[in-house]
Amino acid sequence: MRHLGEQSEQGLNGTVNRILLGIVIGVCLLLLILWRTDNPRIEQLRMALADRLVPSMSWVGGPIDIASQIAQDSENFAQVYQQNKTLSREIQRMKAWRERARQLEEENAQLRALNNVRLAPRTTFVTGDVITDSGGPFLQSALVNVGAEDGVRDGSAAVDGNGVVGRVVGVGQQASRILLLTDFSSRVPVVVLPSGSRGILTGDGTPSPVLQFLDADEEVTPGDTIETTGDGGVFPPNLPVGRLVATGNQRWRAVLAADYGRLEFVRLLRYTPDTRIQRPGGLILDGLGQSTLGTGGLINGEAGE
Amino acid sequence: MQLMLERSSIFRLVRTGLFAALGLLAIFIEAAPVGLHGSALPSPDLLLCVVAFWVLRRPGSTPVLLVFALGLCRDLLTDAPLGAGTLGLVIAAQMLTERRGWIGTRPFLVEWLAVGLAIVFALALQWVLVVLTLGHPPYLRELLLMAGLTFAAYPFVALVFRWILGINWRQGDGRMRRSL
Repeated sequence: MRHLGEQSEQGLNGTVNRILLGIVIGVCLLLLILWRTDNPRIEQLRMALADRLVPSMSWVGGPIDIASQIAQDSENFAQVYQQNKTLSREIQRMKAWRERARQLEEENAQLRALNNVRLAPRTTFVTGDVITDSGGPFLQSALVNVGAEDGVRDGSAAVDGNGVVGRVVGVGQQASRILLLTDFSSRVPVVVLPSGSRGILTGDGTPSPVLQFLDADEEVTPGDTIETTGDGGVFPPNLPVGRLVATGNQRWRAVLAADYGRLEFVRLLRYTPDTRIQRPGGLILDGLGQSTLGTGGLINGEAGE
Repeated sequence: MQLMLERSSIFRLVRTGLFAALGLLAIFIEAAPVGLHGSALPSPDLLLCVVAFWVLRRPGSTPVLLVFALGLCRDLLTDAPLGAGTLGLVIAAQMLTERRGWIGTRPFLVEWLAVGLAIVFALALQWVLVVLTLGHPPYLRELLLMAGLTFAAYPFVALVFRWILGINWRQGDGRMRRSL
């Protein structure tokens, strides 16, 4: 008797499970569509979850960090003598440079006093610890444990000691998500120096992104430095990005300056672009002024975005 | 009798909690930063390993909704295609649950291969869904690498659960074995 009851209960459970499974599949597909069409809202959800879990995640990340640190330390330990020699040589050279820098600074201050210049806006930064990486092959991003509370804004540039790492695409209260330059959807306006040729650095999932829409293709040579242009007001200008390398098939790629292999800390730049000209000057005739005001407003709107 | 029933349901609750905690731990380990370089190895899908092990051994403590919640959590934290990763996980778990009677009677190698199929299915589903929604699919080489790593990780996960937590096939599964 008991057996029969159990069987019918199992049957009922099975049906309930099937219905639940159907609902879950539907919700998953819905979420997928939502993710593709309404990314900002999903990004909010993502950051809300990250805010909740960031403390516990650093708890798990801690031991892993320590383990990799130990591995690195033991590696370093083997070369300590060699490193010591190199470092003391480097320090000597640096001392000479420090003297030179002090002189230059003094000279610079004197000239500035003569000149009454207005300096470009200062860029301040906040440094954060990388808590997670995407790990999977679908998207290349990382979560950092500083957020809106620390002044991080959507679009802030992320750099390490050597160069640009990526930009902020999601901001929570205590965490933010960085899209790396290597991701498929990463696009950054850059300039190749010394030729001054401009292009767009486009991530394609490989360690070295492609340089697209280069305006003076023939003027650049492999080894040229790549810097951000600051166009679009998202990145500050002249941040080092990397170096140019040629590939066989008429495509230029960039070897990134940032050390992606050992990314533990990143700096998020708090940058406000310089004052922009948003309207025509007041000297233009009234009628003309009226007609241009409309376009002025439009430019304003664009700048707001 | 009543007492025993209550005790078993409490145990089940505890096991469900344990499963959720281990799932979360798997997500955190998966998400922990181990090098962001494009050529760095992708992390294995540990969550799928954990879920596969539990749905085979203790299907009573792995409700669909919990698997769904864990999958969603993983998708949000590791930037997998939202919804697609969860869907792969839920369906893979369901497929394994339905065949657990058969898998239980076979040696571990068969179980490993079955889980391997589930891994391939889950990743293939994600790839197809990303292509269908006009997203940019990842390179197949990387996907295969991830599948391989996950496949290699499964015996370790199974070993940890078997020897440290002492979770294995139950007497009940043996009975199923006889009836087959």
